Amino acid sequence: MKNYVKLVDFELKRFMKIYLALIGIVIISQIVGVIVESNQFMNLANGEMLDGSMNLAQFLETYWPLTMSRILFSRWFILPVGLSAAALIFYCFFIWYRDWFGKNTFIYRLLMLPTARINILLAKASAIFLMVLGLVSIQLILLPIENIIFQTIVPFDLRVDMTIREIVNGSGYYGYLQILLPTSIVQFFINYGIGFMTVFTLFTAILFERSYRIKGIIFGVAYCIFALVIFLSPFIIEVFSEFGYFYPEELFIIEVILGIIVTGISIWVSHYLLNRKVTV
Amino acid sequence: MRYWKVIVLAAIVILGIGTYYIQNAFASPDYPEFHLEKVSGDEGVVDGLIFMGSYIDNYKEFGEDVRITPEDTIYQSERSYFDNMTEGFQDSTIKRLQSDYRKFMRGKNESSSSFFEDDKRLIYADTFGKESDEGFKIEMLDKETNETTDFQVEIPENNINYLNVVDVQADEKDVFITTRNFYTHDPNKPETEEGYHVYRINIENGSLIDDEVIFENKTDHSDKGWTELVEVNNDTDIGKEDYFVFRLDHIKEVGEYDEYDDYETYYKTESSDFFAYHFGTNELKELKIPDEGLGADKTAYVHEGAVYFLNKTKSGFELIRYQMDNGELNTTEVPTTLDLYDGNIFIVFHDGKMYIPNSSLEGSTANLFVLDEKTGKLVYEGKMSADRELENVFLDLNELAFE
Repeated sequence: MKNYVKLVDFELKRFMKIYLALIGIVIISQIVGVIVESNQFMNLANGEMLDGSMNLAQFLETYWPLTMSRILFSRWFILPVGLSAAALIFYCFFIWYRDWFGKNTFIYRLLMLPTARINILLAKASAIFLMVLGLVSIQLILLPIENIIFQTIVPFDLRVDMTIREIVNGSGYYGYLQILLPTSIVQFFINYGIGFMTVFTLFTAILFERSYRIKGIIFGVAYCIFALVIFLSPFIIEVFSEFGYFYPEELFIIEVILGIIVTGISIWVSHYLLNRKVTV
Repeated sequence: MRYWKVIVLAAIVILGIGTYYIQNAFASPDYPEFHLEKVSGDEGVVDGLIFMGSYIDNYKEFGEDVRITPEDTIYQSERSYFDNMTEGFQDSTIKRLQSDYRKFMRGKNESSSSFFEDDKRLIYADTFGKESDEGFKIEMLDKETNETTDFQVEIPENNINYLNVVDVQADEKDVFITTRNFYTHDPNKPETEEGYHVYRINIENGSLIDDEVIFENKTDHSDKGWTELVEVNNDTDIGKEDYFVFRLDHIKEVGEYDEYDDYETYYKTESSDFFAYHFGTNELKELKIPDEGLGADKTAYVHEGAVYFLNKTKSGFELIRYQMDNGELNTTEVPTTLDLYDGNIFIVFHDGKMYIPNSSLEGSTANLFVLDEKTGKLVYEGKMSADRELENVFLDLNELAFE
């Protein structure tokens, strides 16, 4: 346990500079975004109403009062969130390959540590997971602050206030915040459970490549397809046979079990590869 | 401090995400509570009445399903994940069948027009084949013995491109499957494109006795317009009906200058012909409903051998009742002091009464009228009221249920 925590801390340290930079970009871009978007709206309102062509009611009817969920759709918000997602996905690969291709083949020292090798894998996955959740939390902490800035710039008559919960849900049907922070806690565990499973499957594929090199790429891709087929098998069967054989609650239970099985197989295969096959 | 990175990051996660969900769990969202407020009439008829619909907030850009019970207003996000999952979007008939006959309902498509139910049996008919044009599979549940029998019936050589089951009926000997068939056709000549068929199938030996074409729609696109078939039958009602009712809409292209002086064309239903097919006598009747702007864009409701229409008048609305067997036409004036809205309006028949919810397109207001089915007299009227002033919020009622 102690070794595991030590390794997680160590993995975090190695990405900390870039991670902090990402957080910085998110904070700065979003805060600048709220200020710029709010001011643009105020300029528009002043322009339309001061030259006498519109009164308040006409303006609101044409442009609608500003809300946080409209600001959330601007580039200032979508770009840094997209950048963070891309960086963390990229890091899922980099977290392994830097150990082989970085200065003085670090993986050699990692594998020589007096601890179960599976801890290396668990630590890397945990580090990525913590960083993803950390960014989501930063977003949640930022929202009330942004709300205050928004309310300071845009007067009450021209805005509609929303609670944090409404902002998160309000980006509604195509909103990215709904995926990161679903209304229901169960859906939260489903989304991140699927995320966890995907990371472990990807790690297994990477370890296949590290173990068998060129041939390993094929094994890795095959393994990913295998995992996908297992996980989606109830749906695949339904497409080929009778429509909707299972009731939704049954499908839910089946999917939870299959998700645990796929994650379990991935960890078990990774364990085997790390102990027996991986080469430096 | 050792491991400070893990500790700090974990603390941020717990603080951010943890508090968010704990708050969500304890504080319900600040959405309005609605309740039905009596305007006049007998409050007893709305006992245990549940409204279902959607609540849409335009400015905040979100919408949620909502259930308004006499005690409470429940929004989708307030319900548990599992409640939302199992209740889904099915209509209440399918929900009831799934809970009563769970085994039989497994793997059945979720459209109630494929089901027929009487005291003894529950019958399901659906199509099979790649293009669902080869025949029918029929399953029957005997409610007393809980036994299921099933068989398939092939439709002989045909020019059907695709077919839809629109109604299922049965008597002691036969099952009647009404379908809307779309034919493959030669695009070069105006031709019959679709038609209603009634397939009569013997239950004993599972043979196709009869394929009767009850109506065909010959579409001619040359005259800047066309005709279209529309089912009028109430398809959430899966009990015995003597008639299958449908209409033929005549749609014409019309044009006018809009406010920017651009000529705009659009399509308008000019008139509708109503037809009723009697399963017992195989007779197709055209319903002589006076065309006082009634048919076009008006919905008809079928219940126990009668077709009903609602028509807006100066002092309220009128209920027009057309008895199919003798062609008798009754109009009952329903005076009301409440506003009539252009939004959703429909009739639900329950316990000898007609429940008519009517929601507004312009705001969060909605009314409910309850009429006596026999006399057409207003026995209750009420309006939805919210516990606060609402702006740019819509309440759209689209289903009723009874506790």
